[in-house]
Amino acid sequence: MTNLFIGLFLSTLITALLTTRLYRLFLWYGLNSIFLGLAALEQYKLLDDKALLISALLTLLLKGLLLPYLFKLFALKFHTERNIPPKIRLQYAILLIPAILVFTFYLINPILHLPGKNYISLSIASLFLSLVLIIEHKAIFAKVIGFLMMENALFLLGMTATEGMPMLIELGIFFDLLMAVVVINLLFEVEHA
Amino acid sequence: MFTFDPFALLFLFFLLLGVLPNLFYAYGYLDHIQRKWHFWIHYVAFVLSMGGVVVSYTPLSFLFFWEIMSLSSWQLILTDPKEESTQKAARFYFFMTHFGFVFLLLFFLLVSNGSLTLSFDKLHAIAQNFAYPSLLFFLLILGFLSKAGVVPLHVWLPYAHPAAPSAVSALMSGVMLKIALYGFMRMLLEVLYPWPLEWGILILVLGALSSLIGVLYALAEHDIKALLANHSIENIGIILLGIGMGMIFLALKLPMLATFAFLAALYHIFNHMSFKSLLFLSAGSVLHQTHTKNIERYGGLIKSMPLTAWSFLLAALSISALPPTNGFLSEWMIFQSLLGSSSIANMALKISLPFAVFALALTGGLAIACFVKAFGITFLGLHRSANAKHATEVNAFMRTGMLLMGAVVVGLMLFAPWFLRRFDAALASFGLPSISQKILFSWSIHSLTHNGGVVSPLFLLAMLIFFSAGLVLLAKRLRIRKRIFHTWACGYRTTPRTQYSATGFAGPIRRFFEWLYRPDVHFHKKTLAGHTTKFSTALYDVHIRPLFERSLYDGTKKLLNRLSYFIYRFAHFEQNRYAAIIFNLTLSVLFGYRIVAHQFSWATFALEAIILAFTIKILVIGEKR
Amino acid sequence: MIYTLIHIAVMVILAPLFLSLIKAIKMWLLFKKPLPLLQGYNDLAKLLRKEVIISQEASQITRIAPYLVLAPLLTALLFMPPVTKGEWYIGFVDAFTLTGLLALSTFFLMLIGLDSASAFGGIGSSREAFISALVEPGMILVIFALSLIAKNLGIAEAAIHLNTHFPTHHLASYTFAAIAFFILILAENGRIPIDNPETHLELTMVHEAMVLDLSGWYLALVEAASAIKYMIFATLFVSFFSPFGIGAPFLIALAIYLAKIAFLSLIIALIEVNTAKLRLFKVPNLLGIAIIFAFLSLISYYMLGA
Repeated sequence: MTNLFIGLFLSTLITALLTTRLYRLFLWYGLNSIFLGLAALEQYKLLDDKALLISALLTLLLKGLLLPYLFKLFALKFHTERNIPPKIRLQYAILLIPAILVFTFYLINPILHLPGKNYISLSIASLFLSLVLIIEHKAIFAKVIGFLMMENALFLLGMTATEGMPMLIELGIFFDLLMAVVVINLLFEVEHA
Repeated sequence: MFTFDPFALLFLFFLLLGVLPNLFYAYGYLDHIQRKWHFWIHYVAFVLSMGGVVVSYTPLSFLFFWEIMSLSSWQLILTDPKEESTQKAARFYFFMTHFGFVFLLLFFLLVSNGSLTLSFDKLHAIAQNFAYPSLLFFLLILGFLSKAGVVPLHVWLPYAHPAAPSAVSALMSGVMLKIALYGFMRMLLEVLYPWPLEWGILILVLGALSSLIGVLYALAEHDIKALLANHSIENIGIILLGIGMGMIFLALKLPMLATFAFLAALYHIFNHMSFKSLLFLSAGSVLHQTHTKNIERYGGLIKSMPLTAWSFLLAALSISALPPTNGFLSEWMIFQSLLGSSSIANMALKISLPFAVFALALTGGLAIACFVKAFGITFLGLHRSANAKHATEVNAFMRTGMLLMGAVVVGLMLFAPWFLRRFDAALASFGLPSISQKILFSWSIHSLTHNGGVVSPLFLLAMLIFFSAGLVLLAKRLRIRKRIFHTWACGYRTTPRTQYSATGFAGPIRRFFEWLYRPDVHFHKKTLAGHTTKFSTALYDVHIRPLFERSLYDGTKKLLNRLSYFIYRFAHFEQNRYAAIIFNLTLSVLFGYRIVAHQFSWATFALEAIILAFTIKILVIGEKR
Repeated sequence: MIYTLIHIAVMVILAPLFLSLIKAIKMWLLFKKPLPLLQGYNDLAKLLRKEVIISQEASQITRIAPYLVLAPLLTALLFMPPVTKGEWYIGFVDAFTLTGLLALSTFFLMLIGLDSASAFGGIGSSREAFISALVEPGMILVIFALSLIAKNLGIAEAAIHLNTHFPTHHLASYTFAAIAFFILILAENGRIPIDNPETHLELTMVHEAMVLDLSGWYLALVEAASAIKYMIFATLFVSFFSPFGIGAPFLIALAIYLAKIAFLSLIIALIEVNTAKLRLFKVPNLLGIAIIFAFLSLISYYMLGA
């Protein structure tokens, strides 16, 4: 089942790359986090690591539900432009996205000899894809979403590479995240004023 | 000196199939040609030299016939040398074919240790001992594939092939390109085996690129013969996909799958010969009657030239890979061999091969669009010019030529298993395992892989005929009344100018690939009294120069120009600077001698380089004025 | 054998019903009075009674192409997966052949559009050529992925294999293949985000524009072809992506099969009501998603084993 969730995680990330609407982007981010949380839950069942359970539940609740909702509130509050056309042409994107997935594997393959190297390569690929998301948008919200997706990818990497990340780090990241959201809010206030 | 092994015999048979219908056609085409003797001499020399290339078994005879083939086809392009563009095309062709020849000569000199009269079977040992086999492979690619028109060495092809008389275009596009591939395959399988995996991947990538770029430029083309020539690039790409898969499978020690891929490539070589020749022949008939190559000036020709139109349609169905035609069968086989990639153990390779599948599928889709355009604009609707209005069916010889070529197309479809057995036997002579027992069962072709499929052309054909006949009978039974009358064209009068043009037809696709085409759009409009939407005349004109020509060739040309300008400036200096150049040359020779003969150390090398740079700067270049 | 014939006959006969069903659901959702479900048959019957008017600019192609639009689709019907397990079926024909047959049908449809020298036919053909060229790679990649998941490229065999070995280990790539295939259904059948089957505005029409100059019997052939094409895609979708109920006895299995298709039609109707038609040059974005999902399906099959 973890495989399915990781697959869905990737697919939401890729759909987010192709979206042209802001609220849709929040939705995909939420789904992305939910699938990540579900994958972490599965992993928890497998490893029986309490820390992972907490991370997973936090991911589900905070990133899956709360953050997209907050973002929507912000977007409504600041009357943000809702049309966010990506700068990378579709013609390139069709080939670029699979190529990133394949090439990451090609690069990772000789380095690692772990059993879960496919997962690691996929999570590094999703890191790259979220970077692409940051690159291809001018809108600040899309950049923020790209940053958050990157964080998700890092969580996936930590989960699959270390078989359960130390909880402290994950909690630290969560705290950073919330701080980031607060800072973004402030930034917007400043920009808006 | 000569060989008649199964592979050579197969290609002799290939030549026979390609040339015989063409001969009739060329005879019928003769009244269009002024220098008849010139034409015939070079035509015969061309055909015979292709046969010579196929049967030669020593580098010397191979190169000799190869050169005769190039020269005679060059002269054939110049059959009607009045137009400036023809001369330019011939010059380009002459340059490109000798560009390839140089590399071919180098290749043969290297693999035969300089003795060009060795027979091919002795070359393998020499090639094995050669220190840099990849160099040999690159020479081979440059030599043969520049002749076959593979991206990025394809730019001459859309100029050279249309400039020749149509019968010759058919020979060049249909047959000569495949002779180049014959040479490539023979050298590969007989001299250079075994090869590393990367060679196969390189060929696969070249194939995928060629197929896509060929079909994209074909779509944007208005000159019907240049359109077909661009499709040759596409199909060579498809063939290379097959050859590349075969090379990959052989490098990975999967010989059965390799044979399947090579079979697919060989079958596509034959099929492409048949339908491309037929397309060029029928396009030639249109050209013969309308005296223009511009597709926008045709239209409605199916009414005045039915046989030409139907043979064009047959070939168009086949080249678009629609079932149950032969083109479909070979493309099906190439797809199957790409699908065979799932049994590769190398994961990185396995997950990159879907890109090749993607390229081939997109090519297929675009080819359909392109041939709907070519057939629809040329033969359907109303005539778009007076030339098209007065066209009549061509003479009996040309019709015979087209009919015979059509028979070859149909024969390749109906007797596919027979042909595949012959190909199998020919490949077996290179030590590849025979798989005809495994894939051919009672007129159907099976795939080798566990997730593969089966195709049966006869069954499909029978079913299509059965259903169509059933529907026709039903129509008869229902006593459908028919009337020929105006149909409602949304209130407009239907005139030739209200029809869709070829430019318009390809419009959406051109717009989608605009980043690749970068078209020059000219739009002139005479507006009426300042209205933007009301106008009396409008002209929309699109020109597309191929990207490769612009970047690669023009770039090289610019670089050469600049270099020659510098040399020119050096050669026209005053005397003291002349002396300075001599001073520097002597100095560099001495330094060079010291480095080469004496002893090499990086420190002295750097020191000498610095001294040389200084003297050049001070004495030769001098102060900026 | 008899079951097969019944199955094929059911597919042919009920094909117009499902198109009417979609239309009726849409009208009902828009608070209009829904049209009777037999409307498709009434239309066809009316067309059969009518005289055929052939455009005076048209050539032989108009007289021949409608047959060749329908015949490949009828041929494709023979290769559909069986409704029930005991049914005799043609198992050996693979999915490439099927896409080839569909492309053959589209090829002649596009020729009809160009034959009558009217600008509208040209618009339709040109757009259809554009869309179908971009559908092709997605289709082939989906087939590739499915042939790996179902361990077989043969249509019928693949469907049966999916029924007996539901791919619980490859759910991710299975889901992506389903998403991609669903988008391709919308594109190939000219449903709303791609093409509006009910409009006759030159700005929006694709399929309708090509057949504008046909009438009577020929139009009936082409309309039947589009109904059967929908039936083919729906059958493929339900037998690949919800491969249940094949084990039941024939009549129950047939009922399940028809219910599944009706459910699919309901989903399509819901999508049609809730989305606007895309601009022509936005259509590639949707098809691009299909292509990327097909890639993703392959990649996740290989790399995640999922």
